[in-house]
Amino acid sequence: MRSRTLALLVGSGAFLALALWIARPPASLANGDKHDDDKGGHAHVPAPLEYADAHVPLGVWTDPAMITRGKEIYTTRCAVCHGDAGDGKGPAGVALPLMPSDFRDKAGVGEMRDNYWFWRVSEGGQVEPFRSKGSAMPPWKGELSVQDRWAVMAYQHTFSGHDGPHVPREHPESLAMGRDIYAMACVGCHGVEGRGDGSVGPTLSPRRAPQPRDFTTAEFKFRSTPSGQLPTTADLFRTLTEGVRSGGGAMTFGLYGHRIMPSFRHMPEEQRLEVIEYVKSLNPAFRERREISIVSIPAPPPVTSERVAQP
Amino acid sequence: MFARGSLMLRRSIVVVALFATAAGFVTVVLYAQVQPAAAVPAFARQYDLQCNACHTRPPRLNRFGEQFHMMGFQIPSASRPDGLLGSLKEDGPAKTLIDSLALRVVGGLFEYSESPRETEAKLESPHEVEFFIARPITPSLSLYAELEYQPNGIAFSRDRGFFNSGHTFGLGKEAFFMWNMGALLGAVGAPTMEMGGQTMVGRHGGFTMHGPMLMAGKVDPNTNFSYSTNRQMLLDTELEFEREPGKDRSEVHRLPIVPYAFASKFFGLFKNRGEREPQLVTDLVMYDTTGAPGADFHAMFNDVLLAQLGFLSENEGFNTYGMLRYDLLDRRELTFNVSVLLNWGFGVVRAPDPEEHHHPGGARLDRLRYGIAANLKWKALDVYGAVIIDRLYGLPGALRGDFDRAAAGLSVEVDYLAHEKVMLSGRFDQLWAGGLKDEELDGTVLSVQAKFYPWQNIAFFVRDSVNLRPFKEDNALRSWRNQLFVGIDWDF
Repeated sequence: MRSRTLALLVGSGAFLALALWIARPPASLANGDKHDDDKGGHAHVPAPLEYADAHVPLGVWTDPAMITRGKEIYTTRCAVCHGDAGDGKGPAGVALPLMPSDFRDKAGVGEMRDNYWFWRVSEGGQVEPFRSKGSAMPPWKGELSVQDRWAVMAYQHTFSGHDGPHVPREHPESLAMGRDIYAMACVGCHGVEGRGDGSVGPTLSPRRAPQPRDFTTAEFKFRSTPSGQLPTTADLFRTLTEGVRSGGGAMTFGLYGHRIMPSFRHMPEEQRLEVIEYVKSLNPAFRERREISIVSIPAPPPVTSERVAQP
Repeated sequence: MFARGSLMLRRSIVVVALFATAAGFVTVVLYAQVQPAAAVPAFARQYDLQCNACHTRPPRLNRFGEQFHMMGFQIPSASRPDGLLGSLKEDGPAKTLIDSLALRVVGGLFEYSESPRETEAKLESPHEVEFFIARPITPSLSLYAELEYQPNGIAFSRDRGFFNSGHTFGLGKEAFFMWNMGALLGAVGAPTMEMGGQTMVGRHGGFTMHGPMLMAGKVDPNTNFSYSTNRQMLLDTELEFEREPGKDRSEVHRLPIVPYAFASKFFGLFKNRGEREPQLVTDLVMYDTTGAPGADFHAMFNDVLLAQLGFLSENEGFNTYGMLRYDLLDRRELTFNVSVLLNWGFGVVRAPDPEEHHHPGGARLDRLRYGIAANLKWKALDVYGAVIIDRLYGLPGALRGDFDRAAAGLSVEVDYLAHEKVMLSGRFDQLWAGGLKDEELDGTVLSVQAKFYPWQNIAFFVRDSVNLRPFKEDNALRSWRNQLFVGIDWDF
């Protein structure tokens, strides 16, 4: 019996060593790279934090005046590379190392989120990962107002043949990665619909531990915005990265200050942003707000002996 | 007399030494932590998490804890990319080592049992002291090993052919590695995605598969089942035996109270021939083993369907199993899952000799086990139950008239978190036994328990079990009417 157990363990170990040796995922299949190649190298990475809250107003996408304005801008500034038909085959674009996007690719457009699109129009190809791929697209943030950039996006959107607004509920594929992560790591506490009604919450320590957040309301605790307002994407990113610590009270002898929500700091930054985009999609108010005010926290007063001595 | 005194002294020394070691361990942990974060098990220390993040109350897992376990003790989608090396660099060797270790002291401290024949009350030391080493090594590989000390462990004496008790130390119920094989599938052409260091097979928005995870070594695969026998609030009780003075023979006086659905269920079987060890009717066997050498593969598809395949060594044979679990994702503070099991054992038990029923015969029997289990968690309520049916094949013709080849069991447990420090539990166990017809008896037991958690990782419990069937003095399944236990479950 013992020799059989030993043989099983040794055999398992040998199998593991062999498997680890050959288990090197080909780069072309990891992280969706193959998918990017299908799109001519246009990886739909999440917009960086400074653009993550730059959502396009819902009405812009279907506003005829905005689309007309966008067509004027597109014809004079974009068509030379992206083509009059939006097919990415403009006369100046065919020789570029990174082919201009084809806006007729309905699936490709559907996967782009509005803040990603706005980021690309604003910064062009001068940001990673597009600069490394040889993108020649100029940044337009200095030449086009925010409204003009929205207008040109609304016109570009018409090439895809999609009639409705370009929002996640119309394009759930734009949130696929975030949804997969959410289903695996977040549903137990926050629930399928993000109402903070997962099965884990009621047993955490109902009276003392913070309960899972209901993402569908404006009641967020960890934020840099005024009371009653939604947090910024950066606030959500910070909470996801750090987790949530709980005082715990008398229930948690020896555990005081340990997290009740895990830290996801080891999750790649891009994936943290993906899951946050999915969380934001659960509350339409994240897309409807236009102004974000940040509460400035004054610098702490200097530490003086008089202050320290104060009771 | 002197020999007995010497044995008692030796046991006392060992117990005192063990508790001294535990105290030293706690002191080291207290010293090593900047914050007063001492008394937490290994994974809680490694991830800086409270126990309740993964447990409704230890040892029962909540939904997040189930995902954490399934993914090889890693935070879903957020494995540390540099694994053990990262911990060594960031935390240093001492903290990394301490964070990898844990201790559990569990068992009854006081027992009262009552039957028409006798009433017995006794103080006890905890049944088990378990020492764990557990840690992810890489984002795809984790190790878990358990060493176990039992001050009064009961074991079958292979040389002498009877049950005996004594202090035992050795490999515990589980010792295995768990490896995410997703990257291996990627290497042979499957589409894969990196999810926080964990390779997932499939495409976002389409088919996805977490794993497959390989768990190999000494494993207990039923943690993934809707009714997990190693994650119950009500512990299995101890076997009681009586040894006749001056004789090299002991009789099983009282069988343990276990969830009967997962028990062996048959009277008169043997584990093996040479050692003549009986397969007790309450032994947890097959897929529901408390730990056996084997290999287990499990994977989760589209976050709702968990599939499990594997094989386990058992007695003189081995068994193979397949399990499917469907999860309803959490909403309205409710989650539900249902599991089906199909389990086939090849020559896993030995039939009794057709002439001498108290001796093992020449025939090894196959066992078919199948059943269904479900678990519902809603607010503070956690309900789980299972119906498991067993059937034996290969019975010698001479035994056909004396032996019942089919048996079944039902176990339903309800846990209710009445207060954040108090978990109330009740379990109903029904056994429709099989085996030798002149021995077989059905059993019905109702158990209730109150467990008090002064802190998250320490619990004291009071538990009472009632035999709902008529008392039978000569049958170890029913040779009692009422049993009361006071005990401790302490993890640090």
